Amino acid sequence: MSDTTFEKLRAQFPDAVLDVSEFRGDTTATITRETFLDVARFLRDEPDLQYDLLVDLTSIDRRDLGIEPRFVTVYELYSIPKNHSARLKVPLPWDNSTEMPQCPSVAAIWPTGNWHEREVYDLMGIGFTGHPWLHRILMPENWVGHPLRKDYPLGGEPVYFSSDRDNPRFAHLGKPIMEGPSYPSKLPDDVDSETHLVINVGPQHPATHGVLRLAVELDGERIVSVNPDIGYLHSGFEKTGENKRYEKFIPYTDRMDYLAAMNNNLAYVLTVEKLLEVEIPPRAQYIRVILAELQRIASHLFWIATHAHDVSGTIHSLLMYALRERERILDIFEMFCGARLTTSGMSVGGLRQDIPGAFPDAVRSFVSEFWKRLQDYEAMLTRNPIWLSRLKGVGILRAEDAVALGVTGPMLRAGGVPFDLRKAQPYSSYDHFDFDIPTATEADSYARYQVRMREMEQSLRIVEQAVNRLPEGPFCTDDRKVAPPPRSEIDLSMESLIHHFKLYTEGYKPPVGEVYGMAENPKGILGFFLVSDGTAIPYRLHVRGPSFVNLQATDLMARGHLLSDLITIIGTIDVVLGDVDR
Amino acid sequence: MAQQLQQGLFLALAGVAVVAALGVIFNRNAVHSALSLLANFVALAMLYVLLNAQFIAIVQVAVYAGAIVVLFLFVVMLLGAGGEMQMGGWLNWRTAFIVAAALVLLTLTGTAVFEGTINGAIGTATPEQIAQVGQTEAVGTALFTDYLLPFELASVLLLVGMLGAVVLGQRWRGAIAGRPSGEAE
Amino acid sequence: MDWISLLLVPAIKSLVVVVALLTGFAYLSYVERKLVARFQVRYGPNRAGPFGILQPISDALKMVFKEEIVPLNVDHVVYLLSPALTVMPALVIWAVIPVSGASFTLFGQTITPYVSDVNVGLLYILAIASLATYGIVLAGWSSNNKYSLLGALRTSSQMLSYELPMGITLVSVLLIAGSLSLVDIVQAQRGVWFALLQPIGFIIYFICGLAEAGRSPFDLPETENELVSGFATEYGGIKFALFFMGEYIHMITISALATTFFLGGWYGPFVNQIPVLGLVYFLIKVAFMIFLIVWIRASLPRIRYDKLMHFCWKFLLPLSLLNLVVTAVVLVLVG
Repeated sequence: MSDTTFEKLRAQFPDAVLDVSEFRGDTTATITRETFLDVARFLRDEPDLQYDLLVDLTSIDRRDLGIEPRFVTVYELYSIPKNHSARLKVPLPWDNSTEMPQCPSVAAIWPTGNWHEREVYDLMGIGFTGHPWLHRILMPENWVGHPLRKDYPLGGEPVYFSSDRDNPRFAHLGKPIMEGPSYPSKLPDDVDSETHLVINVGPQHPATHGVLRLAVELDGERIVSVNPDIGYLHSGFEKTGENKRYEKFIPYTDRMDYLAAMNNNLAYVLTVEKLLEVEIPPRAQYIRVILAELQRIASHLFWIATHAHDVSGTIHSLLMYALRERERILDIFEMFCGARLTTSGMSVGGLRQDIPGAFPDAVRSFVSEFWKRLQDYEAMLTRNPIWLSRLKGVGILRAEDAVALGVTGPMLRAGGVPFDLRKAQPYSSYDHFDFDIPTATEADSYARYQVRMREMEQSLRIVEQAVNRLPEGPFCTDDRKVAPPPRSEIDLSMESLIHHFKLYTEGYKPPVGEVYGMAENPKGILGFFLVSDGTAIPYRLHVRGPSFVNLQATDLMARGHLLSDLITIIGTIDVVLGDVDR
Repeated sequence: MAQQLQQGLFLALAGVAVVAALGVIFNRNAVHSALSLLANFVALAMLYVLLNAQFIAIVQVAVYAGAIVVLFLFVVMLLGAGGEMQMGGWLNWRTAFIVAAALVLLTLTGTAVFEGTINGAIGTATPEQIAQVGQTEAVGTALFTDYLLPFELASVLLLVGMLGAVVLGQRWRGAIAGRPSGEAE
Repeated sequence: MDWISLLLVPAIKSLVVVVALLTGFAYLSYVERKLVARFQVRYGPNRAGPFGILQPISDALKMVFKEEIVPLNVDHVVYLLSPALTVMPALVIWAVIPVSGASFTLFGQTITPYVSDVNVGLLYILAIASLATYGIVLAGWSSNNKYSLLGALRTSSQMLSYELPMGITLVSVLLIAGSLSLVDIVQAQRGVWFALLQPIGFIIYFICGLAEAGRSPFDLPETENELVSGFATEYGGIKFALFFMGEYIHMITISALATTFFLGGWYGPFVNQIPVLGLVYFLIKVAFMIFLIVWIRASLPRIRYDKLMHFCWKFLLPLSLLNLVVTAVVLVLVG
């Protein structure tokens, strides 16, 4: 597919394309900065190409690779109608005369670029000309430097663990920090805090599901604008990942969308496996599917629990009912890998260990019981008039807006777009299973509710099929360069011992290249961008968190609604702040 | 015994009423003034109870304390009457008018209290009658027989006022309706 | 001996009512937690004492000994006054509620099962209920917090609105009973409960009662998911406990009034033979109403604020008026 893309591109813009390369099935074109916006618009609008979804926008600091120019921005494009993807790279010449390299902003072409560009500006120090409001997004406004640059030091930040009274650093304790208006000064200029009430929903608020701050501009109780302020939970996962061996980043993926650890693991190991080109035995693939789909159900259960809680109040029974079922899924995870929340259950090359003997029966009994439970939940909510009046018509996100904002997952499908990576680009043998993609047309909160409820049913179907057709065989690839040999072999074979030793002391060294891996997470597309320089440590690791992108749609969805609706809307976005801030 | 108790209660309640009334005037904070007004109304209601006029007492609480002062509070809170008004000075026409009006009021009240010459019209109902049929019934009968026309006029007036408020509210809503809204009213 | 019947007896009766209500409040919070826990397949409080029955006491102790935190820039007098203003009306209403049918004699004094039987009892209840708004409005205003203010405005307009259909429904009751005295109203239900004569009125009253007490699905006053804790956001410790107390006593009051107006008050089988059964019946009916309220809380989502107001003004109010007209017409026709 991509070949035709770049043929057309070359025909249209003969001077624009500097280079086209292919690696592991990903095609990358390098575009000059001057022509980039025209190219982007052409790729989006050309009827044969229709790259309507800007999946990800990131950047690479190539200082240690010795490539000039040092900074390059990377655009991962995907076309939902044509089901093909392409990657653009725009090198940014920088003569140090300006404060930072400049790149044209794509926020006008793909509105989702807005936050991505702010993230790149914040973490990599690349300016975007024409950006509507270029401010730091994850780091505090007064942060010095850009952490993802390769010359930015690791560590060195003193952390005080005891608050001794004599330390002047703690002189502020017990005293009011801020007088007067308490919302941050870095609100967009069009926020009118004189005639309107600006209210801080968060960072400590019962309905934001974490440390999210929404500066909400209210006219009475009607929302004029919503300005999300994120980054409270930013932990620098990307910087951490660029200083760890590939395998060691898996536990970090657990902690991004901590309600969908298995899905995160799957997306990450798939990306690394794509980079390494290893074959995964079918048994491992099936078990991965079972785990990922169970995790999807668990994530949706947590969503329905907290959503019902948000819309109803603390005491709504569904909170506990849904958590009870989720608990059973976590028990199954515990049975498999010993951990419940942060599972790190998968490893590059397959699984860490085979499933225990009781696993299939436990899954089967859960599945058969959960069908009934799901009907109970529906009985509590689906036709409840109060529930309908709270959800119907609230937070409409039409399909075209959703695509433009890069929103994926159930939120996009609720707008009527049957886009699901499990069908569009089946991974981990999803094509072996018979399942549907639930969609709705109303694009409101109720549609999202219905889509997620139906998705749980479809996940159950997949789990049922996978567990009943579970093939025999190894649970892990026999490529000893990637996966360790079994314990029994080490005692017998010198070669295995060497493999084991090499693997745990040096890790594996993927070839030089860059890959982008995506997987359909409960909340949308989780993407990993890996750049390998041939060592055991990724040169660049970038994460596209689905919640980060989806959260951007809050403002559009909430405008004109009431404050109560904002709570419903945040609920149906299903935001997990670990995923937003990473 | 009962009489002494009644007198004691009267003095206490009257004291509260007077202090609260002074508080209405002398409080610098408008919300505190409204609260003093509330206390004044409640004390008055209790005085009515002492006069064996429970119905009036209840109406006093329900209408004045329960509804009107709440509206005062709403207005004060929402319009932010925190800042005190600046007067130009003590000696101006406005103060003179207020002083004159206060003097007239004082004279009238004094006459009423000490001479007993200003009395309202005395109806035909006696306390015994009222005790027999109940106060509410007595008031109701009077309203729906002798005073039917004024009663109906008053209700029409209130209705007009209510409609006016609704119309004004709708116009205000139209002014902000220009914003995008996803829901149909 | 005059002063005994004039002062001492009402004072003692008031004391008994207040103590009973405060205990009732404490154990109502326990019962609600236990009930909700069972609805949600949990155990509920079970650490303090057997079955956790000492939980309310430990909660009370905790509340009392919490650090007094008063935020910066609050209006101190009003801030401290408003919790008291919330609890007071809820307690004062009980002066006119008859809890049993039979008077009894103690030390030569005839003790009636109510503090006072005024002939404007029903109006008294409406008047006092309208005062309950103050505590909340003032709490929201004095806290100097946007959430509190929004919560207070919501709550007070909600309470003011729902008083109307409630009052009109009670007028229907009044028409049937022919008296404003609560004792007379209960006696008028000797044969048939008003809940059967006034089914629509009963439902309207119950809905309005939920809204008045700020209970789910009308718990807009708190709406912890939107307004953090509404008007009570800036309150902690015993001051918060007072708001809590106000809400729960209000809930008991609403149930007791529903019992009195619609469920025949103290009436039940054999109540004439064994007078103490009256109190038992009354308590059972109140407990049933409270159970209903808790059950609703565990199962229904919360109504959005504007829909709540629409529901009141565009549905409940016309319905209650219609109910009143129909009642009046039927009464005239039947004679």
